[in-house]
Amino acid sequence: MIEVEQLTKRYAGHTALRALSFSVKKGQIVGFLGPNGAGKSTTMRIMSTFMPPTSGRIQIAGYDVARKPMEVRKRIGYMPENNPLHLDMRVEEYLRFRAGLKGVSADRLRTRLGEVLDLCDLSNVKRKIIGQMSKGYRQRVGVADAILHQPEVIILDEPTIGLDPHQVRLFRKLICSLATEHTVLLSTHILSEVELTCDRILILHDGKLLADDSKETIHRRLGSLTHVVAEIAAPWEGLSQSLEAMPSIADFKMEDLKHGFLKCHLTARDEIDIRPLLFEEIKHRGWTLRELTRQQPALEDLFVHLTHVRPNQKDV
Amino acid sequence: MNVRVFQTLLKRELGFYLTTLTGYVILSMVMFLIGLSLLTVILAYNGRAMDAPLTEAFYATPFFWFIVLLACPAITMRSFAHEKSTGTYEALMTTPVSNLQIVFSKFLASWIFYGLMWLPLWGFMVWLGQFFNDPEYLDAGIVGGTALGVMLLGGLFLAIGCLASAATKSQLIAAMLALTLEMVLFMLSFVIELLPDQSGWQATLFGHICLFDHMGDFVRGIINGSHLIFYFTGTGLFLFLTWRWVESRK
Repeated sequence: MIEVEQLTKRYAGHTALRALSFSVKKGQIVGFLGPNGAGKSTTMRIMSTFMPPTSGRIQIAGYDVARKPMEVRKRIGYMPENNPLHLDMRVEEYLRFRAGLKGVSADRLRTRLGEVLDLCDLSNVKRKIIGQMSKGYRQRVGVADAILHQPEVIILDEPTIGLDPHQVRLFRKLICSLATEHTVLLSTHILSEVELTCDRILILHDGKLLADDSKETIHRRLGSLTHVVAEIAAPWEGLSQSLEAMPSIADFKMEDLKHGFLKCHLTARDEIDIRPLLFEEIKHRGWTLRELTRQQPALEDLFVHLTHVRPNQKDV
Repeated sequence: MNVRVFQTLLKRELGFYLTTLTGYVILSMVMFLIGLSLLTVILAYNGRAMDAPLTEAFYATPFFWFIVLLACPAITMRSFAHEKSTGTYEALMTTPVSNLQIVFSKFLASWIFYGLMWLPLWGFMVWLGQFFNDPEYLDAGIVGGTALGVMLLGGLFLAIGCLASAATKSQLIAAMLALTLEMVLFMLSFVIELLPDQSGWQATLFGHICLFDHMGDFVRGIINGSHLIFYFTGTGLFLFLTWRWVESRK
């Protein structure tokens, strides 16, 4: 459905994309993950035909983005970064306007508008002025606009930015419901978001593809980066010997806290959840445990891991 | 050109002028200036016989150029710049609508609004017409010629305004740029008077681009080919430049 080949984009004095290549199959939900400035928005803007690439090419639904932009635009639903909307318009009025631009016939719109309003849970607010609505509702209007003409590909640039956790959950549900009919490509810099929503994750950093894996593979890789923090009241030597003797702990650091407690930062070997084992050991020794936390790695940790562990992947 | 898409764009653009405060501020300011200029005319000819058509007397007041030069940038400043600053430009440019349709719809909407803006003048003319004994000073030809001149001049200035708006994200800069370009064109109309040789090619060239000559004829009901060619080519040129600018995605 989407074929990206050797995509490069240079601005004056800065290269945003460096020979990026990937492909997306029909019906997949693909998450574009990366920090600010990684090249996510640039890739999406080129895909949406808004800007041309410096070199390389993109094909969407069999049409070249640079050569047949009108054909591509008919087949994509694009929600740009920050979800720009006409704030002076009412929801229904705005969607009718956008449908007119996208060539949805008046007959088709009669049924389609109701479907989209229901799907995005906007039926109750269709007469409201967009500028007076909350961020969550506005994001839904943006998605409603993107799916209005039933495009084959939906491209959403940072769709959940600025939403509260409840709104993010609703939004995630909405995205998942779209996958049956559409191919979805969404960008974000929040790791947990793509983990929950996407089948496949593309990690971009500094204009290059660092990883292109299924959710499970990324999850497994992240597991090896998971740290456990424990605060234990125990003698330094005894605790140190115990931790060294545990085969499932790959590495640990200790620091002395006040009131006899030691803080341990532990890294597990082979994605094992060491918390139950550690708890059993502490119970067996008769020490006191006051904290046992599993710390999920941040996106930055993953980048550091990917750039160091898989240097050969940097030039993908 | 897809007519339905064009209608959708035109309706949206016109709707913005007619549903926001900006549009009504422009309409009221222009209506005030038209009223002021007609009041000047009435006071000037109070108790005297008219020696020129009413339209020419209106044109002779300083308010005419004031209205055209200021209203046109105010109308067009938002057309592209506002969409660029709010980001809706990106959403618009990724729909299956051609750039030509976008440029032309924005221009046409501003032109229609500009036409609406002048309606009070024609109303005043009709009202004043009933007090005239000599119809020579206010017949349909003279009013029609003036209306055509006003619309053609507005078309040219609005096309300049569209180019200025397409070139920037800031509405203020768009308005200033449009005003500057219009002022340059306006000032060039004085050049012919400064030329020592009034029969050379320079005089012919500056005579063709002299806005005063064109408008002076229109307000007397004189319409000839050179006026039409000047405005059509000028407006076409600036619309073409706007289209090229939009195409280049600057």
